[in-house]
Amino acid sequence: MIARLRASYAASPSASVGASIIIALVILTAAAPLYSPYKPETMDFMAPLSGPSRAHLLGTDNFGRDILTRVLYGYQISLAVALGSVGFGMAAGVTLGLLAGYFGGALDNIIMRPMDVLMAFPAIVLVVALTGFVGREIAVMMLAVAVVYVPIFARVMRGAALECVNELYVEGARARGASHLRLMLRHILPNAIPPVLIQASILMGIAILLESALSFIGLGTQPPDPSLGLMLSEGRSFMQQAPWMVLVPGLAISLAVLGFNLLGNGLQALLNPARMAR
Amino acid sequence: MQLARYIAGRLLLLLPVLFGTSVLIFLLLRLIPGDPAQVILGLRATPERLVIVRSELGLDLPIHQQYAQWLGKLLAGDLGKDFRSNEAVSELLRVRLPVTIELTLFALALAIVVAVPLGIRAAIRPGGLADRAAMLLGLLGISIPDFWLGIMLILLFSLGLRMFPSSGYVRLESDLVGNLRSFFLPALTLAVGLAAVLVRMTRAALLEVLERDFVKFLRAKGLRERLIIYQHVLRNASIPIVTVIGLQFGYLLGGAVIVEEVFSLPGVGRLIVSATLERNYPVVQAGMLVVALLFILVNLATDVLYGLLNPKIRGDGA
Repeated sequence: MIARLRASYAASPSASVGASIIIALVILTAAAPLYSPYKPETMDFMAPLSGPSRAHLLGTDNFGRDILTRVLYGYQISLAVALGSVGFGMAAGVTLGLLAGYFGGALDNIIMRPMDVLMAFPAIVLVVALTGFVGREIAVMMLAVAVVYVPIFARVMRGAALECVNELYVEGARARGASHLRLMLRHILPNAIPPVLIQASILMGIAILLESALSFIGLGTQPPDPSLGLMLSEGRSFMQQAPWMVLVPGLAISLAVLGFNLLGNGLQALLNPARMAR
Repeated sequence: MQLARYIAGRLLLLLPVLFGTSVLIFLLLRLIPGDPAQVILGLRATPERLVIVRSELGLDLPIHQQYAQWLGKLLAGDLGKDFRSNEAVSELLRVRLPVTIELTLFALALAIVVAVPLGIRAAIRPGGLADRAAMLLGLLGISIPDFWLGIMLILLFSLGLRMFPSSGYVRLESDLVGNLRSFFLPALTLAVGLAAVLVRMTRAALLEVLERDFVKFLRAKGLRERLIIYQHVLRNASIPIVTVIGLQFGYLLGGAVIVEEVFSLPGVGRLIVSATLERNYPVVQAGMLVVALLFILVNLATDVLYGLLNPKIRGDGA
């Protein structure tokens, strides 16, 4: 077990560190209700704006709520949005990209031109408009970010599928009479998926940034729910008396995003060693 | 002549994208639940008034006619009126667009000035100090949320050291130095993410060119390394670098939305956010359209620069 871990660390230190950060965050976050002495909305009126202490390891906010607890629960929202948006975006994008790359021709144009249009909007503008008008629930945020991700996944998948479609093993399977569906799902998809997974890791990080940005400007998670972006925006009014109110959530966001970026970079290095060796 | 044809070809390709963009923006705000007439009237709404406002907005027409009407007005330069203040949206944008453009250009300049030389140094000596600095910038720059970085810069440079104002905007015409001072921290905030991407791209592009045969040939010829890098390698590596700058401009526009909010700069991004919060449809529509248009135009400019840098691309006639 340890030998295997050591081997995978040697193969890609970046991916291992990234994966470790993410796994640790997921476990700490999921288990938070089991070990945290506070609830995210518990207010300690005796200790508002108090600095790090034994009772409150990372200090409290203006309502005396424990910041560490709120960060842990805030991660639940961040990770849920990241997972949901990448899940939806990948499902739709991979399907569209696979169809476009496999069939080509008119279908390719029908699928990809609208994707170009979607790509003509900066992500945050599209997400702001969608959440602003549809609603500020977590599900809406997930779907709004997913809308941004569909064209990205479609493009990556299409490119990868194009590279596979004329390979000998695909030709062979076709000659043996495999159906279109079988060719796509059994032969092209597994071979074309690695770049999609790299993209997925990086987009998870970006989703966390987008969720916190949305909550920061008031279009995402609503108070009193603990979202990292919301904590930051609430902390701004107190940043001179209680700098930990803005320091902690910001570092927390950066750590999670860093984890996903390291994982993505590492996977890229593993899957494409020639390019990284230079 | 060929370049002119190339540009004309690119412009022609723009039309379907522009059309699609306009349809998307139109549909986005039409298909979303909620009645604009209700929003405009608020508490003053009566069934009769709702009918009047709906017909004023053209909301009682079939959807394709609504689109045609909206597009017609758009092409005539009429972007509609602000629901709240009744001001012309085009006037709102005229005032706010320069702020966003100055912010993004300032950030772009800062990013290029730092990232390109650093990327070059990193590529010349892989594993060296510059290379490690480049890696660090490349990783942290894309992981740190820009709005948090902005807050930290305010905390340090404005509230702590009192070197820069923490918010607000000084007009360029009234006070150049004051203007640059008010833009410096926001531009720096926005620049970091771009610099991260740019430094990686510059490094990778240079490394790729450095391996080509012509570089070995020039070295064998005894040309000075500096000359090889700055005269030959950089020119060949410039295409991917320019592409990244062009593509990233869109992200700068997106980032501007958040950074304007942090530093209370009166730009288009903040306009879109506040209009979204109060469901001010015409303002959001026009703001999104302008942002998308800018993005598309920058991509076009990138393509044209491509043509200038690489005769091969231009020769294809596109």
